[in-house]
Amino acid sequence: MAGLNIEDVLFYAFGAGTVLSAVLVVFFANPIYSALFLALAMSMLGALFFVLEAYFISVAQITVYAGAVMVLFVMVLMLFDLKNEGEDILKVSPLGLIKLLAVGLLCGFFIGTGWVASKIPGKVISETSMASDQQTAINKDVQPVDIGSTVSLSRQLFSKYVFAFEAVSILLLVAIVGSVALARSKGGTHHVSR
Amino acid sequence: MTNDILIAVLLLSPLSGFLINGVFVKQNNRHSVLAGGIATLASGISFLCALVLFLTLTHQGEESAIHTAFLHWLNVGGFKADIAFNVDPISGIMILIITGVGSLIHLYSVGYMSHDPKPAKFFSYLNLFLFNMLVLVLGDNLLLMFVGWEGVGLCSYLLIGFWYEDPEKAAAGMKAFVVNRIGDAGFLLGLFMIFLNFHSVEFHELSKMTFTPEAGFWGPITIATLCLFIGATGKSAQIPLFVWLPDAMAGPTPVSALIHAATMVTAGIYMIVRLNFIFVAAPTTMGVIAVVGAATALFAASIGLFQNDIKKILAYSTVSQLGYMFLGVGVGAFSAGFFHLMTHAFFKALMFLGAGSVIHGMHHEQDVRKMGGLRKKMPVTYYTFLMGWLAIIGTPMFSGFFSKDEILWRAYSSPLGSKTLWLCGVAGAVMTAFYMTRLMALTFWGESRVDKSVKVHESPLTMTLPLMVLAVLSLVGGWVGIPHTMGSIAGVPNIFEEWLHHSVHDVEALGSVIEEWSTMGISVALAALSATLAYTLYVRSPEIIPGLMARFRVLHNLISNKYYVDEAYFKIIVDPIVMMSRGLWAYLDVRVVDRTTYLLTDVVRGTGANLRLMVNGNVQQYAVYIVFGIILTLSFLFMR
Amino acid sequence: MSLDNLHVGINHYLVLSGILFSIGVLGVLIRKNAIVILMSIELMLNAVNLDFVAFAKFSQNIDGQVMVFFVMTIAAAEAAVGLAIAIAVYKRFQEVNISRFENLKG
Repeated sequence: MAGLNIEDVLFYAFGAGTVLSAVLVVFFANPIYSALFLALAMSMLGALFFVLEAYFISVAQITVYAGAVMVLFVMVLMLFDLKNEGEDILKVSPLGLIKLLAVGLLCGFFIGTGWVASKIPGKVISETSMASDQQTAINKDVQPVDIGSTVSLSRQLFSKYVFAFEAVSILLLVAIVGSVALARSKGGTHHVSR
Repeated sequence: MTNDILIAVLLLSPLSGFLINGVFVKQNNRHSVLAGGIATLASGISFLCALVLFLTLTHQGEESAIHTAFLHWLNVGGFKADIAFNVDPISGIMILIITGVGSLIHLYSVGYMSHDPKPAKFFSYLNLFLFNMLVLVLGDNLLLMFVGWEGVGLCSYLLIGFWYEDPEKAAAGMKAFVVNRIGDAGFLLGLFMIFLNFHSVEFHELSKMTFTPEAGFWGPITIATLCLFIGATGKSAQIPLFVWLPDAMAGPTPVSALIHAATMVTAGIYMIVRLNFIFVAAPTTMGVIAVVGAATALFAASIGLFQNDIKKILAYSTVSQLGYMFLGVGVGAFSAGFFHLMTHAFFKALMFLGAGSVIHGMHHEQDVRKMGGLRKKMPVTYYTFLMGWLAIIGTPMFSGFFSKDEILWRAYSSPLGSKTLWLCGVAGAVMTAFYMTRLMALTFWGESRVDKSVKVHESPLTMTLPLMVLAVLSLVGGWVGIPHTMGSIAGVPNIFEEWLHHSVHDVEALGSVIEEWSTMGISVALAALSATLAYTLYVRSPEIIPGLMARFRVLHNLISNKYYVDEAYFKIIVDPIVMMSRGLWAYLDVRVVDRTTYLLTDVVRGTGANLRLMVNGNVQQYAVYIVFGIILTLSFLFMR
Repeated sequence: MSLDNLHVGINHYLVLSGILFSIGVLGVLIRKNAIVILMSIELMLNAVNLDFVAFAKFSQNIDGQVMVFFVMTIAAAEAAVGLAIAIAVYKRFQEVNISRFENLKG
């Protein structure tokens, strides 16, 4: 196909992978499988980030999300030992249909918006972009200049957003303390009490 | 500057008395002297202020007035009314009467209400009444006057129905208020019409305008003044709205003295005198006023002939004398009518207080048939009451003589009057002399018919002192208004008329001096004859009375039952209205309105019950709602 | 039908992100296991991250990636706290099936 770059191909490939994994997350009864497929989805997303030349973010995605957060999920799932609690996902009920309808509408809304927007050249981004002089760069191949590197990211992070940075670190501290306090039990984690 | 303070104190003193007695003094019998003291003090302070203001006014000359504006109140669409007060020759006299006679009655009430369970309430109402009456006479525009007008109506209701546990007394209070209200509607209509036609309701501004005299019933001035007069008939108890005043005797006697003799009922006259420059431009209205006044004077006097309750006799006498005042203003003799207002305040308040003293001394007996010979047992009351009697029947040199005769003369001689009116007045005077003498005879003279078990005693000083003061005033109060024809003999001017000369423009009398002396002589002579007749009948030969009553039985019944006016009102007006409202209630209110509201509540309750099913604890269901909401919101945003 | 539409632009990324988000919403609505619901929320957050990064690229503004940085951090913290709560619930009720926790009924 003429005019398709490697980025486009990669987008379609990884995009499909992500969507598939995401769907499987929702449709497996066994939560462990769901967790694993979520990890896979996140990795695919990381690859997409790579395609979008956000290198640091891509690595962070894989390290933090797929690596740390999903491991946390799996660990907690292991604690629960819920294998025999399979839910009946495919139960058809009126409420279930309404839910499907709602989600379908939402999805259709997004797709429709995207489709309509693509008919209007230069319309979508121009109202949200902060760099409005880049209008001509939309919908065409863009040759970015070192946009995803760690240096440029950290330059912004520590100058313009330093307050948010510090605040988030405090938030993490709070989250740590909070989760320890919530999940703690008297005298250890075993049910057999002293 | 000091005038402002004086007027403020004048008004606020009784108002504070009302608040202090109403809020801070305990409602029990032990505090009656305290409450009475506070009230009398407040009233006395007002009197002093009134006195100072009056004297200031005399120094300023008759043309001027003391004007004080306190607050801007309304200024809407050209309708301007301020909270401003005006002390001019007319209102100057009124405030003296109100606070002076009022203070005396406050003092009297201390003694009279000493056994009452709730004296503080009584005194607070009395002070409130004083405040409202002062607002009425001092207000510089019709709207402020109306505020006072309504206020005194309210206080009248509160005070008449003071012993409201008795349903009859409560009903009397309600009757007074309702009948007054009918008159008030007329007053308001008149106020509106005056504003419509002249774009102002301020007295000073109105007095500067010129009013072209109108003929017939349909001119704007005529209609406005007729509406105002309807208000006056309500407040001042004329035909057809007089029915509340005899019933108002259910209230304590000081109330009858203050409100229904000296002050509130004079509000109608005051209003007409105040607006004399408008009324003279509507001769038709003046004619109506004169006719109504004369008719009322005659009518009420006739009823008074056969009443047996001492207060009712005085009540009908008040209605009758008010009729004289209206007759006076109706023929254009505004100062004469006003003069009679003043003298009447003196002798009628005196007589009411005297009656109260009698009732107090007779341990609450009010039927004159059970009295008699009280002059020996209650001398002070007797001698003071005697002065009042002499004044009202028109004994020469007493105050009533000068004022009443002036009115009669004007009725005869004014271009707006007629001989017929004069004759009605004379007939009324004859009847007045008769029934007042009858009252004296049955109460004070002759043999005692008092029940043996009743120990009659004279009243204490707090009650008799006001009587004495008022008795003196009943004698000398008329000497400020000696008409020219008499006064020119001794070189005594008619102070009263000259005082009012610039504010009040009387219609000139057309008659000769001989006619004036003749009318005077005729009325005095006839009154004397009538009094003698009554004396003979009731003191010398009371035994022929039953025979006479039997001979004229039908007429006697008719008059004794007050011509069945109350019964007629009830049958023609009140009962149909009550039936109609009952019908409306049963059909409209119960069937339509209630049903609709119940329907509404059912709908709401049903909706609530159904909506409640949505809340079932299923969080994911709530999330569905959220998603739908998001879709909707996004669509709206997208549509823009 | 031009193949120009196949050439990937910002709209494609937006649509993809939207689809991922919808799938996340579906997971939240349908699943009964609390942990899986938390996972679906993570999926939604990831979809948003994709959006940000795409915007960052196509408007040549690094601020989008900064945003992703923060979202990631906060999502991790939220996951931790959410799981702690789930553990506490499990300790108490021996299950995390949310259809058993409908005390707000009525």
